[in-house]
Amino acid sequence: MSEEKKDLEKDVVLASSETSEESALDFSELDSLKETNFERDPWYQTAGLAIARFLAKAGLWILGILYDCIKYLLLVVKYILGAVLMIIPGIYIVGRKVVMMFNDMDWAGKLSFIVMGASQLKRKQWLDGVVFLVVEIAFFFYMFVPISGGVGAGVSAINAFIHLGENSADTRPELIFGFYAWIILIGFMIVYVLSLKGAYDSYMITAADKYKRARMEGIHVLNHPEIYHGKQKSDGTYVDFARMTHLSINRTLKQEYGFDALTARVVSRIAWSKCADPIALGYDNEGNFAIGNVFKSDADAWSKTQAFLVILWEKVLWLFRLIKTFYYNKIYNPCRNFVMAHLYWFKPIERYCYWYLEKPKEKYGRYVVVSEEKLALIRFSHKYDKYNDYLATIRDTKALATVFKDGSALYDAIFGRDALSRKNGEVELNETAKLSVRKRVSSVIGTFEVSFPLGKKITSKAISIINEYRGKKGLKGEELRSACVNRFVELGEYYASYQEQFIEKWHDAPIRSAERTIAFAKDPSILQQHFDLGKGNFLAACEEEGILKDDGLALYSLFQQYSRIAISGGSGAELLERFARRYERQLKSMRAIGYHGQPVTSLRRVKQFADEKFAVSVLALPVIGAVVVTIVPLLCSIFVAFTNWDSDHFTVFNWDPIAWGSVFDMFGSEAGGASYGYTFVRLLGWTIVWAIFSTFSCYILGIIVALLINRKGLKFPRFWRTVLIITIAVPSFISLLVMNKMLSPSSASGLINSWLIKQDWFVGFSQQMNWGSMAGDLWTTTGIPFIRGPGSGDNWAIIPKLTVIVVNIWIGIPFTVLSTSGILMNIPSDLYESSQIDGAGPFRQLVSITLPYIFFVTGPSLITSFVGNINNFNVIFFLTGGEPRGVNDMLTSGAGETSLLITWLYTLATDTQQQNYALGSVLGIIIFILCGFFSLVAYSRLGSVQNEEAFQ
Amino acid sequence: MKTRRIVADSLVYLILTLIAVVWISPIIWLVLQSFSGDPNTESAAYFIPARWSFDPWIMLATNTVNINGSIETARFNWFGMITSNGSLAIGSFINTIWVSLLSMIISTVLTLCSSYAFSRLRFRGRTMMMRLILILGMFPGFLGMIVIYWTLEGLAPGGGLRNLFMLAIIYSAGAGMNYYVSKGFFDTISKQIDEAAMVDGATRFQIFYKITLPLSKPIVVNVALAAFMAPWGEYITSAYILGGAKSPTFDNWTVARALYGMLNDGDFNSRPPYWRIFCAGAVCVAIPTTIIFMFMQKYYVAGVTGGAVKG
Repeated sequence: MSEEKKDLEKDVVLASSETSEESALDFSELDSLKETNFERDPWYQTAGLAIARFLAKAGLWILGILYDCIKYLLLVVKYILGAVLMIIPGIYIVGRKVVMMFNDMDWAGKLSFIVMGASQLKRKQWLDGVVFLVVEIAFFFYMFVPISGGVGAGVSAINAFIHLGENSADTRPELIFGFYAWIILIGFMIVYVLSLKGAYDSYMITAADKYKRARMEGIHVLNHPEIYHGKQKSDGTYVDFARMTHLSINRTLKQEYGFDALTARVVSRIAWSKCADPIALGYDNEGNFAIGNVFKSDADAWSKTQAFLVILWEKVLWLFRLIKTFYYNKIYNPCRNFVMAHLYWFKPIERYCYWYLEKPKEKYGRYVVVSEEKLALIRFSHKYDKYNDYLATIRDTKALATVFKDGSALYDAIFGRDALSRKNGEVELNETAKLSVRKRVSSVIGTFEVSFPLGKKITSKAISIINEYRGKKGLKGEELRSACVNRFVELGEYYASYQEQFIEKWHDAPIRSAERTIAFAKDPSILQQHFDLGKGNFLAACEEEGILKDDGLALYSLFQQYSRIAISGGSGAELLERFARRYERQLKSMRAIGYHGQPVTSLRRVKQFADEKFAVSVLALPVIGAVVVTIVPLLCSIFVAFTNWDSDHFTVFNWDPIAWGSVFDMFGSEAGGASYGYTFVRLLGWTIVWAIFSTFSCYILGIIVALLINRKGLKFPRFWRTVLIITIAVPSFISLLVMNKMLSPSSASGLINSWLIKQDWFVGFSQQMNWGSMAGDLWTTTGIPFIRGPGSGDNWAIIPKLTVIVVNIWIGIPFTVLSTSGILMNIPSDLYESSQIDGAGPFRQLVSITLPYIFFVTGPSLITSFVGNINNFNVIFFLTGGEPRGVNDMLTSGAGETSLLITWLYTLATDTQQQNYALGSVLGIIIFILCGFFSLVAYSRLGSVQNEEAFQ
Repeated sequence: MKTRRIVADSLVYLILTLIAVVWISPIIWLVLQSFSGDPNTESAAYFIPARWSFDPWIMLATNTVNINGSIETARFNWFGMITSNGSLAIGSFINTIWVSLLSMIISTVLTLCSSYAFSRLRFRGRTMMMRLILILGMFPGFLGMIVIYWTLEGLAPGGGLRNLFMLAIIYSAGAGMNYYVSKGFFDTISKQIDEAAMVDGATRFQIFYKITLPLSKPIVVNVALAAFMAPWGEYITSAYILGGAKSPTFDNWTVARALYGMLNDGDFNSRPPYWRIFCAGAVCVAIPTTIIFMFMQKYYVAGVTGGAVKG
């Protein structure tokens, strides 16, 4: 036995050693192959490929940018046009809605058009009511109550804003506080609309019964053929709803038939929808035109034109969608687009055309269902509350049953297995342990997909049972456990049986009720006697028959109608039959539509702010802060751009968009120098050049330094990184001022220049080059004009420009290194390993893996830094302050050779000789447009890049 | 192969040494100059001071300046000074500390609120708000500053409201718009914890207060430190709001304004010889900011990359 075993072991050992040798051989072969047989791509090929790829991509980018320009231009045009075109219809629609709301509501609702919150207060929604009321009082106090004579502060501020600079000693507060008054006015209007909406909602919650009754009445009216056949008026003409708008139907119903407003509204809505869409609602199941034969000819004509219009409209829509497909996809991928377009749009069109030719009528068949369901939703909204309750009860009992049936799991969740074994079940459930218990229980209950209020209930119930067993009956350990588990299972079974009973009793109760209702409507004789005995008796009888209260009420009203018609000699049975048919349809769609609606109490509304509406409470402070300190001032400064607020009109100014003219007036001149327009164009050019150079120099050099620092096998990596990080940690304005001092001319004892002019070679060199005469002996006396000469400047503006770019590299590289280092560490190493096996050298790895990865992750931050550099105030302001200035034609504008638009803006606002706020604001808007344009274009381009890359 | 490697390595070390020298030398110069005993007019011309002394620090602390041997009262107030009527006037350094503390508290609350909402809660207009914030970031912030200046001036003519308290409010009230970094952090916290709490019946407020906040202590510390650091390096707003078009009184300056004033107030050729004192002041500011930044750098990286990608 043992020998056999040993042999076997030997075999195993041999086998394993053989395989290992084989594998070792394999690897060495691979290694040798790697060393000798594979040729790496020559570097020029790699570089050439990379350049070609880059050029191709750049070409696509340029195309794409052009495309984006057109796209955003079209978008702007679209929104402006849309806004203009929507003004009048918008006012009409909103006005009509407001009139209807006013007509519908009771006195409190009508009062809330003047006293905000009246409707809410009447219906005991104290929170909303009081808030709206306080807002209104505060607003009217601000607007109209005079504090120091005249009208109120708000009205006078608005007035002064419009008539800016007329009859005034100081316009500055007028502009700013007038703007605030406008903001307050607009804000109040929004709150007013919200209060009206709230008032209507609060009315609807309490007036739901009334509304429902109105609907019922409306249904009877609509079923009364008199309306459709036209009622003979006193002058012998007929009222023909088919040719009326629903507003005029509404009016007619009120004037001619004496309906109250609510009923009239409901009836007119439904009547109008039927008149406007006879095909949708006109035919009954047998294909007969049920509502009124007078419409038949109208309906035929209508359906012909309508069918044409519908089809035309759909064709147009499809065309639009087709264009949109091309519009939203990348234009440089036409092949994919064509396939996509074919799949998504051409195929359906084909199918549609085919289908339309074959079966034109079914189109409307579908339409019927949709409209029917919508109508049913309105009518049965309140019935749905009950249906939801029913569903919720079933869900809850089911959850209770499943959780309790698995009693041992529940018990263990509460005590935990460890605790059980350790303390043998004698754990006290004290307060501190409760939280952890809850967590465990929730994890168990969570697996049963139980809603959280119920989970809470289950936990407390289970714990109370355990406590009861332990306290009263004094059970311990395993005994306690088995007793509790038994009890849990018992409970679970009880819940399960309860659920069965409940389902038996209530499943399809509305449907069954409806069925019974329909049956009684078809055979009215059974309930007729109950009807004769009065409403209460009738409803009781209905309940006995399993008819729900709502259906019973509907049936009762129907019987009333029926008897009335029967008494007048008409055919009441037809009415009942029609009712029955409609009821069938409505009930069919009942189950298909979800409805959630519960009246909300004041307390619940307050509590909502910690839960459902937590976003509102958590965002309130940040939004208020941002609006007050950032957004409103920015908006106000847009208005400043349309005044002539400059040093000539410093305290009194008026509406005059002169600054816009002066910015775009490039060839004009002003007293003492060139125009602002000239300065603007020059600074715009320099700003863009600066932004491009500073962004890309920092980015590219930063990546190179980061690659060096993160090189494998580098000693003291932390040291090199810390050196760079220290320069970030020192506030940039300090290091910039230090740089300024370093590069100052020697007359201001700048470090570098003081050293240079002491060197003979430098003096000799600059004398020999004859630069001295060009710049007034500047170089030989004060050194290289890195920043400016002492006193007057010189014409060598290119040197300060280079200086700021180089110093910005000093500032910017550590930021790039810091962010790139983290990314470099996160590059998956298997990418490198697999590429090495494929024969890629370090250069190829750099070009094909490292750099694309870095570009992919940091690409978006490139845009941020580009925009940041357009607005880079610090570097220019602290390093050169815009110098050199004063030697050329930009003197009067206050800008220097190295000024950016943003520093010019600062100079315009703060320099006491300028104080040109209007021009400053114009510049601000232009900078915004510039930044917005660049980032919009770049973001949409980068978005496409991200999708194509395969790194994530 | 091996020689190539050695050559490459030595080249790398050479470049790195060069970089280190270029990057660190201005800062070393700054520190050295703060211990310079050279005359004010000349000291900036030397990298290593010819004479050493604690004069710059003494002059900074006593708000004096040594001009050609005569000691005069300087045009700044760094830590504080006793005025002629015997009361204590608090200086820029202390001003900046309390502006930073106040704005730190406000902006930490606002930033955490907004970033939590954008990260965890789903509400109508969420993406619209985030987009709006992105767009607003492109307006030069200085434009709004002009309006705020004239608002404060209009409410209390003569600059009664343009004080350090309002400055702290202006620094911090818009902090909710800087949600990127902390939103990125909140996104990484598992949502299952929230759901488990919801099963227990916790409201969203309780989840935020009892679960998310304790889990995100590092980001809270980071946001607070960043907010604390901001006023130390911020010049435009403090100079404009506190000084603006009127001549500033240097009692309510912040350090940035004071340091800038030491080098740039007055005409180019007749600027006061404050260079050494500036260096001492700059080191005084740089020490706390450097220490704080060392704590924060981990999250700084996360902010740059995470925020940008999601942007």
